[in-house]
Amino acid sequence: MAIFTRAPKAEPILGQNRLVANLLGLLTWFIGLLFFFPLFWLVLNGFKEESVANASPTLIFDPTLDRFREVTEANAGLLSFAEAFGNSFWIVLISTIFVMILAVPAAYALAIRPMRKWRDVLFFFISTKFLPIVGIIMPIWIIARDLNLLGTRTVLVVLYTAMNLPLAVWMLRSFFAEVPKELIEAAQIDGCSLLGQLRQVILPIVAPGLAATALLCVIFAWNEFFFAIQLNPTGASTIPVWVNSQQKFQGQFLAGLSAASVLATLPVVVAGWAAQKRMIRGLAMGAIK
Amino acid sequence: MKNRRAWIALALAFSLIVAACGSDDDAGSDVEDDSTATTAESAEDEAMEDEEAMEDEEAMEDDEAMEDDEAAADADRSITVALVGNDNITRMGELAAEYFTPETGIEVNLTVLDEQTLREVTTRDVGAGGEQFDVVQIGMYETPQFGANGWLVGLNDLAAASDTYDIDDLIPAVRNGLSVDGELYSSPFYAESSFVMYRSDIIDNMPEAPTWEEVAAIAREVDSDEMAGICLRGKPGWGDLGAAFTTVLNTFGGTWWEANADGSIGASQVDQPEFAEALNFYVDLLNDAGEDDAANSSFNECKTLYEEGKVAMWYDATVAASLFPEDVVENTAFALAPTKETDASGWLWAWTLAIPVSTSDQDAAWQFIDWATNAGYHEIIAEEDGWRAVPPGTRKSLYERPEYLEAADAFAQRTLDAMLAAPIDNPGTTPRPGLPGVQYVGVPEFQDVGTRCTELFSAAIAGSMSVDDALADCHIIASEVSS
Repeated sequence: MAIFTRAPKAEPILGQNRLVANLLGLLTWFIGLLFFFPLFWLVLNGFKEESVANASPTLIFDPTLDRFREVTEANAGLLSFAEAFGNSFWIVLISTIFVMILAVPAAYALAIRPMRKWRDVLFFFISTKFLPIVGIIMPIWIIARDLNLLGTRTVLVVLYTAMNLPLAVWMLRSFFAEVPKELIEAAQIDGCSLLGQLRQVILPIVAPGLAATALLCVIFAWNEFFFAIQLNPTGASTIPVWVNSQQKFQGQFLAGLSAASVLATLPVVVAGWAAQKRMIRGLAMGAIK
Repeated sequence: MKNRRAWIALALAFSLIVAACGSDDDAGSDVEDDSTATTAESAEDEAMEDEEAMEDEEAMEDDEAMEDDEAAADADRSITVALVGNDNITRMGELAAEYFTPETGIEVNLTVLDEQTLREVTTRDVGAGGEQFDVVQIGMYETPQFGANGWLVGLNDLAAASDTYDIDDLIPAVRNGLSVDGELYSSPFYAESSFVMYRSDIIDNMPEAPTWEEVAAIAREVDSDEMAGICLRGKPGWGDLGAAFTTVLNTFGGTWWEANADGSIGASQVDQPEFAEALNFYVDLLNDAGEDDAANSSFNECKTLYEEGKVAMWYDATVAASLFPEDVVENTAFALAPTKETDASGWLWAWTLAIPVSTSDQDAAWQFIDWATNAGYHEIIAEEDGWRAVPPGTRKSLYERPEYLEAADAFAQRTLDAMLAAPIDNPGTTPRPGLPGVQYVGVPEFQDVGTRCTELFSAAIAGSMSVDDALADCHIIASEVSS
């Protein structure tokens, strides 16, 4: 008596067929290159002379670093690259620290010790992102004016903290929810305090999630342009405002603007590259598996 | 793993070096300030300490800050100036650090913005008392409106008290365009009209004062696969396509709105035959002999095409001539803006410097404007960069200087002729609201209507919409603001 019967042959799923797999690979490459092309063109333009960048598109040219030199040159009175970089660096760093300090306890409370109506609280957090920023810029501008905060870094720190907080709470909550309850209970039985549980049990487990969240906050704050240009266009402003200031309304600026854009994107690309493994692990951790 | 750590270390080191270089003396202290400034009170204190962003007046309100200020005395006077990105304007900023600041002790902080953002930011700052700027760069379109609203400091008395600023030296049409009831509200940095620039080695039959029919005929004649006959603005925007097209519209006998008895905006005239004739002419000319991708072209694109020899003729701002390389100027001749029903059709525009009433240091702001827009500045820039680089179109005395006439021989007289001929008070054949103004209607509503309608006209140039549909839709938009 045959106890073991041969399992029926499974239908090949999409991608197992060699031809389909090759076509899919080709399509992926095509889409990937399509997305990459504007960035490639941007980098290329940054190494061109203005007249070449503005002429008919060409891949053959004499590369030069002059545009990078020009845009990073400090001119008296003007927002320089170094100043803008410094401003962006501190604003992003401080706002991200604030976000993490506020988001970790909030996420803990929502995921591990949910209070009454925690779903409503969670929804409230995300609902603050529903309102279009352009619709509330005028009241924010008036408040900033009355508090003498226009043109300061402080106003951007406060706004970037507020802007990233809901996202951070949501992301961290999903990471915290992944922590096995048994581990926390075991720590409690061993007499571990609340802070001890957080520091010694929970945070090490969600560390990739924390890194991913922090990196996203850094990226969003680094790239933010609207608040910066509306509330702080003067000397204390950030990298995106500096990039914008490279435009000229009469005269060629494409190569210079490209060089400035490359410099502006570089820190984010480097940060993302350095943290990519951790970030992917973190993002996958909170996802539905 | 080791590799990744090395990258992180490298990135951090780079960040710290740049941050340290860029933050000067205040960014470091800002860290502490920012980390504690979460309440309104502490935030206010932080703002007091933030040198760059601080207005003098705010500091005066605080006793402690006042003591500091007394110690620093005049050496710490600074003004913040909002400017639009442009070579000759940013050059002025550089020269201010070299000449103006050492002379007066007033530090000049420049905020360079793109044109659209500058309008948005300064309109709100000036209108709602943002106090971020002591001097703002505005155009001829905004000056009379802001001045009439009481947002700007009148300059007549300040100019009269100055030993260096000669108000009567300003070109009359420019002064008129920047004044309300005789009071000057902004001082011109450079001004421009429009004219035709053409390749003298290719076109030999261009009259000095051509009509649009003549220009169109020549453009069609010289048009070839290698070289387009003419470059005209087609990019949407009231200051882009809107400016070039409105000068054509004026001289074709059309207008955007008729004027009510009290001078306010009357019925839309977009549905009138003259309007349709002007737009059809413009679109047909671009289709027959215009540059490639005309719907996305404006000043910068046309300038590039002209310099590369890809268009034989270009109708645009007179300031272009002063920006051409030497070899391009040599092969270029100039003709007045083409006409049809009117005697002249060239536009008039000036980029100017004005003082918002909210400034905390009116005296310093005026000293800067006086320095940047008087004839003495022309001497400075001539010495530094040569006479051809002097910002044109604002002062009669410039066109009397033999050195300038020699250096800018090819276009100086034509520019002056165009400026003097610009029909600023009577640009068309019928009464209209919003005067003075040639290539725009000087009412706040025009910004929106002009931009929305030129989006439709640009679509007609691109061929994605018919001229009739564009006109019908534009008529609806223009009628919304009629009273």
